Amino acid sequence: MTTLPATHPLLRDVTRALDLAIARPTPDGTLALNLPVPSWLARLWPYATTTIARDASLFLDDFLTQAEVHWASAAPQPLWSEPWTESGPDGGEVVLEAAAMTAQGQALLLLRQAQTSAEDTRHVLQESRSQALEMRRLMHEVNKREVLLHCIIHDLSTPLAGIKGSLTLLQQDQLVDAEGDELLAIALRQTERLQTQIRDVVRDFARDVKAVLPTLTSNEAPADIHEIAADALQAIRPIAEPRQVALALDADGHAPWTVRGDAGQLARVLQNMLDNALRFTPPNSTLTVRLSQTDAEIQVGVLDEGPGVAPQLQPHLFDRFSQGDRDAGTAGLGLFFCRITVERIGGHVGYRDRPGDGACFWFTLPRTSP
Amino acid sequence: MLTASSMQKKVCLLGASAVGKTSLVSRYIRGIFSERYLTTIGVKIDKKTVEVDAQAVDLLVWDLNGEDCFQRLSMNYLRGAAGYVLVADGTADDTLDKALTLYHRATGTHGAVPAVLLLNKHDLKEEWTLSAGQIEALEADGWTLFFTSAKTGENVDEAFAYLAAQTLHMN
Repeated sequence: MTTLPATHPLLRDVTRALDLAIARPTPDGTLALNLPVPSWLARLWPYATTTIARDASLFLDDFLTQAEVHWASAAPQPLWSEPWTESGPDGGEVVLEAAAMTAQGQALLLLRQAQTSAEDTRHVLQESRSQALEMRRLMHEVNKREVLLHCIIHDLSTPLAGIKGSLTLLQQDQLVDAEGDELLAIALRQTERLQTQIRDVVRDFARDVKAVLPTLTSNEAPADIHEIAADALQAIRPIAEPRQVALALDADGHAPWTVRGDAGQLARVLQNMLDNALRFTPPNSTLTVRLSQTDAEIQVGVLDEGPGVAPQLQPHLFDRFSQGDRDAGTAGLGLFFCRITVERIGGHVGYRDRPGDGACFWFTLPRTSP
Repeated sequence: MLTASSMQKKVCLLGASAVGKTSLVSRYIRGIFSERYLTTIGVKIDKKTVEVDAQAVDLLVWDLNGEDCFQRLSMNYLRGAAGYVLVADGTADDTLDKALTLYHRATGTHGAVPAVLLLNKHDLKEEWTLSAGQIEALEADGWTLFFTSAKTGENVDEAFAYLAAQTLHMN
């Protein structure tokens, strides 16, 4: 076998291509460098043109103790160090690894920038992807809970508004004696306190929630939308009456009004729209639920006599966290909930201005098969 | 240049990733703190000369990569260590288990040497999840604890000084 001298052009080209530094230990304790010196080595130790002092690197100084044992053993396999981070005089850092080996009876030290093994890469990728999948699953769970939380808040606040309205009517109409009136005042204060707390929760909820992709489960048995509308109007009567808002159901009571969908969720959709309308309809006006139908679908309209919705806000009314003028002080999830619920059933939601003043929020629902 | 006559002590920082090992070293060696998190690859070694019992000691501080699901700590780094600085993050109590596990692996591989346990991020005390019960249990097990903050510098010098003295007394 032909022995190549350390300065042979072939060796020089190979070390340059591999970006390696090759050094030989010398009797004076320094490391003599084979030329050329890689650029990263020149950055770390600018003074090291032909030799590196043993203590140029605290790690190298430590590793050379093991290397000397390894060279003395003349073991054929190189001894690789663990990677370490070295700082240069400019503050720049380079991650290095070293190998002690013996070749042609000559002790050598190889230095190179640390490599990432395929095994390490696979390990990191595997862990990263597993965690990404777990994160996605958790986000899905969080999203579901967020929507459910909204529904719970809504279910708490709507009857509370009814209770407050009823208490107000009792108080205004002087239907109780003086002692009862005092108790009524306490009940009203506590009700208002609860409403404030719920509003606080809603406010924080709207601020914290980042993404909501609902996957609500439901019972999509046939439901009677006429009955649901009548119940919904009855439920808001205690809120509407103190404001002198009349309630009306405009529908043929003898026609079949059966739709496909979960009765509880449809009631919540209608209540959301009624709550929304009630906030903006003026005193001495009428709030109407109008039912109409075609062969394929039933349309439900909630009509108020308020100021309507500004044209620039209309395209975003059913977006998540939409908080236009009409939704001030709410989470902006009510109409979003209406849309996702109705669309999941196969219907549509929308808004149109009424001739003159007023707003009409509507949704359609597929009819059940005869 | 380091000479054979120099009194050198190698101390290694052990702990989970992101508990503040590098920040503690940065505070101890350079007296600075940065909020920026930069993960350690392998090891970075710094040296600080301290005085113990009127004797100068070169403390070689090995700031090792933290161990987590992405990166395992090689026990090869710990060869010749005279002491361990275990670091746990008080705001993440699971990092205490990791620090203790690493300590047991280290002593199992290289034998027992003095160690201190730093409960770090004490400046965020109100966010700590480490319970009083856990801390009492550590004290009952004989651990020398330091409540540290790389951010404020609280107890950082004291912890290293204590360990340096312990390593010297082991001679």
